[in-house]
Formats: sequence, structure tokens, C-alpha cells
Amino acid sequence: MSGSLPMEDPLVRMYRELKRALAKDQSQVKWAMVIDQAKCIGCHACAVACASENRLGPGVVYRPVMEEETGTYPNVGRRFLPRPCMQCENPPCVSVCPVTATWKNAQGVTVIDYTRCIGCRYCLAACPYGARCSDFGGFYTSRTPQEPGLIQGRYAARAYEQQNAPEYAKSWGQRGKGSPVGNARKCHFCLHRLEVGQLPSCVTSCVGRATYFGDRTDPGSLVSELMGSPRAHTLKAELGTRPNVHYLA
Amino acid sequence: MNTSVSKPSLLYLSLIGLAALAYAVVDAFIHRAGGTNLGSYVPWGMGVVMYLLFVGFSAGGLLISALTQVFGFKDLKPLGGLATYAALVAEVCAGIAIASDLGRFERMFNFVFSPSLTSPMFWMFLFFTSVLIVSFLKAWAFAKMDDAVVSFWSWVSIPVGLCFYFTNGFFFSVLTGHGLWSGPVIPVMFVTAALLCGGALVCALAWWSKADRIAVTRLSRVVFWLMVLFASLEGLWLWIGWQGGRAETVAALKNLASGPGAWTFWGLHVVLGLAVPLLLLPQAKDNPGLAAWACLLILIGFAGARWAFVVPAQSVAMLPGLEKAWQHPRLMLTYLPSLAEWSLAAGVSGLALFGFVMGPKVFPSLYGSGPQTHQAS
Repeated sequence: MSGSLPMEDPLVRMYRELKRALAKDQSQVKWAMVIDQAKCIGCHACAVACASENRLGPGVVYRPVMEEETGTYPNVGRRFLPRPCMQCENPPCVSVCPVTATWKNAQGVTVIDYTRCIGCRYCLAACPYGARCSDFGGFYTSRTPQEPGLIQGRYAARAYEQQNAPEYAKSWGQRGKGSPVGNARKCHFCLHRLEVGQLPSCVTSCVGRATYFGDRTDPGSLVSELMGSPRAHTLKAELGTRPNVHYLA
Repeated sequence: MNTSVSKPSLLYLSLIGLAALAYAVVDAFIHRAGGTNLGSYVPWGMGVVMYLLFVGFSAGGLLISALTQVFGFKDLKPLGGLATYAALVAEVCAGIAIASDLGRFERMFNFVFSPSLTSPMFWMFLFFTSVLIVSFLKAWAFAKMDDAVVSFWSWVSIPVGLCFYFTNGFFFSVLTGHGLWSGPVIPVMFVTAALLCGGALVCALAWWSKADRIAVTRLSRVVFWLMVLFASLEGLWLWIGWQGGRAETVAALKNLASGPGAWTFWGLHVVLGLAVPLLLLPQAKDNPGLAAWACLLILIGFAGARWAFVVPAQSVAMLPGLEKAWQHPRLMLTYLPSLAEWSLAAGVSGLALFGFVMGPKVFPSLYGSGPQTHQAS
């Protein structure tokens, strides 16, 4: 009979754990993510939600979803690999930055100071996961028609795009020539959402409930539980970067 | 030594280059890196290629200092002033190329205010600045004809220069995500490449400014052996990458050898910049003109070598399928420079040419009437 009862949505549990984590001393919290590839359906909702949440400009993506086809016909398989920043314990991108514009914060998230970054793109070359992007500026709406009579033309569309997201819980003004244009950018586990008690947008938008997030120092958390699974692994473990994003194969 | 140079056609050519540079700089101010065709998966292109090329050209001062001070090649002393001047011009060109490549160049002061000692780029900046200052002081001493001060700064320039050219290679060798760049051969190869390029530039300029024939041919012999050493190291680098069999490295090597830009490696670098000079230089013992032309080919060929080093290594995705996951021109593995980037390349080349054409007229003391020249003559 218990098998027929509805299970608790993982989101409800993760929100409960998030509340618990935020009540702790923040230096004791270490954020981690687990992605179940068996549950990912490749809908790209997380990638789009991330782009929307962080108002990512053209050519900037924090969480692309890669597709992998295996085998030969008729014995073929297909799986998906969402790739946020791995928030490595030993991040190669941090040590190469010449102006200390990037570092790991107390919760283990690698962050960027947009006001200090010189845009040399050394960190992009150093990341073995290709998880950093450079913002070269521009708008998606540059070629949107703007004709008399159009209710939603370029200007109306751009009004949305011109607002920078409050990344790192700071106001970045209007998108134009100023930062983060010209800077390196990356996934930051939606720190601005965590600060107000919300899970990262990729987690809440995942229709297959394939992305889990929480405090890995909390032994009762869902991520701690899943990280102990024999299916758990990390990408390019041989490099010694010790990612905090784990995959369930 | 005859320092009178009348090359109006080269001067006009350099002025066209300066116009291109003006366009590139204005574009960089308006669009920043947005005017380039770079992307997040190919973050370095023409700007880095030109930087590395001109950094190599600037090593002539180090080479001549080392040869005269350490190895006792006294007959190369007449080339000291010229080599120092060439190093200064090349360093300025390299600096412009890399500064305009930065997304936020106005924050370069952060190299000083918030440095990171763990970053090879910081050390590169430090030694770049040091070489620039030492070269300037050395050129000043040459102009003042103060042999003791010239000797002092020549000695100082040797360790500083070696550190600088080493850090340029070290900069790439720590990037373990790129199999083609990482490894201990790279820094050694960079030092050798720099000495080769610097020597070839001084040799070509010396013949062009009608300097001491003996010094030119003597230097060309050094250039020849440096080229043999560089070719060996480059062969070793490619062989290790291929033999290692790491999938990403082999894919990058295949792109280097047969990709869209393979002609720069085979045509420009291997044939024009290595094979032809290797054939010409042994025959130039009594022919400084032939030696200078061979050195000019080395310099042109190195543009191809630098392209082949920088671009193909970035043609392989860090994770399979990454370039197809989110489609945008800035998220591709292919790269062709934009008009602004070509203008930058033409511009810094034009600036260098302008400097080399005007050098004998504006700084005659560096081109031959310095203290060491008198001693040699």
C-alpha cells in the first residue's frame, strides 16, 4: 500500500534542506550538485531557465546540455549531460587569474569579481570543462524588426534584455558597455537566489527532477545521500580538480 | 657603417599599417573584444598570435647581450645598439597587440593593485615590464656611448630576458586541459624560438642598415644553429603529443596538420620559415645579403608557426559535443579573424616597420656610432 502513496517531490525535500543549511554558520556550508543522467530527458529547460535567470547575452551559456549517442544501429543509446560549472575543490581557473578576480567563496562556489576582471580569458583556457564564457556584448534582439504598427518590436524586446541580472547579489545596471560585458562569466549556483532561500533555477526548472542541490556537509541531505551512490562519478576525475558536481551514470 | 636609409616605399607601406592600427585601436575602444571573431571555446586568436610573434622578435637584444657578454663574440658588439632598439620596437608592438585583445584593458592597473603570484600571466607581465625597462636603459646607455653602463645593463638583461621568454612558454604549459600546450618542452621551445626570431630580426635589420658584414654573417651562423635546435624541439613536441595518444591532443595535432589552417604550418612555417632558410644559411658564409633574406623568411614563417601553435590547440572541445549543445557563433571551435583583427595584425606589423625604417634616422647612435661599434671598428 505504501508503494501506491505519492512520494515527496525531491524539490520539497531540497527546499527543507536549504532552509536548514541557511540557518547554519555559512562557513560550514558546502554546496554541491548531483545530476542523474538516467532521469535527464534532454529538454534543455535548465539551460533556458539559467539563461533567463541570469539574463545571459548572446554566446554566453552557463549550463549547456550535451547529447551523447553511443553504439551502432540497431544497438544504440542516447544520453544527456548537463554541464554547469563543476565548482572544483582545486579549480585550475582560479590560480591562473593574474589579478585575483576569481576565487572560491566560503561555501565552495567559484565566483568572479566583475569589477576586477580584465577580460584576458586565461581562465577560459584553463578550465578543463569549458565552463567559463566570455561576454562579448551584444543583444539577441539586434535584428528584431522594428516597424510602425508592431506592438512588440526591437525596443520593447530589448527593454527586457537590457536589464542585467543581479548576479552575486549585486546590481549591474543596464547591459551595454559596462561589466559583465568584456568579462569572464560562469555558473555560480545562483548565489543570489540561495541568499533569499531559493534553489538554483536549473534545479527548480528540471522537469525530470534530475538535478539535485544541497549542502554536502549535511549527512542527511539528498545530495550527500546521492553522492554516496555507486553510480556517482565526476567528470575528468583524473585531473585532480575534485568537482562538486557529481553525476549518476 | 652606413646608416643612411632611403626606403620611401617601405615608409609608405608602414604608414598604411599605421592607418590599419588606428582602425583596430578605435574598434577595440568601441567594441572591446566584441569586434573580434573570438569565442568562449576559442578565446585566443590573432591578438595572442601577434603578441607571441613580436615577443619573439624582441629577443634579439638578449641574444646579442648573451653572445657578447657570456660567450665572448666580440665581433657582434657593433650590433648591440641595433638589437636593443629592435627589442624595444618589438616589445611595444607586442604590448599593443595583447592590450587590445583584453576585454577590459582599462583595468590593466589590476596587475599592480591586485596581483596573483600563482598566475603565470602575472609573471609574464612582470618580466615583460622588466625587459621593457632594461631595454630602454640599455638603449639610453648606447645613445650616451657609455660602455660601462651598456655592459652593466647587458648583463642584467640576460637573466631578465630568459625569465621573460620562459614565462611565455610556462604560461601555456600549465594549461593541462589543452594537451597540445601542456608539457615541459614548451617553455624551453619558447626560449629557443625567441632567440631564433630575435637573432633573425637583428641579422636582417643589420644587413638592411648596411652594418658590419662580418657581424651579419657571424650572427647568421648562430641563427642557423638556433634554428636546428628549435626544429629539433618542435619535432620533439609534436612527436610526444602524437606518441602519447591522448585523444584531444591527437585531434588537435590532426587539425594542425590537415585542418583549415594547415597551410600556415606547412607552407609558411615548415617550408618558407624552416626548410628554405636551412638550405640558404649554410651558403651565406660570405654573403650577408643572402643571410638576411633567409632570416626574413624565418620571421615571416614564424607568423605561421605562432598561428599553428595558438589556434589548432583550441579546435578540440573540452567535453565531447560541447560546441553543439548551445549554438552561437561565439560558441564554436572554428576561428577566422575579423576585419578588426586583421587590421591589428597589419597595424602592429606596420608600426614595427615604421620603427625599423625610421630608426637609423631618428636614433643613429643606436645604429652604429655607439661605443662598442668604435671598438669593433
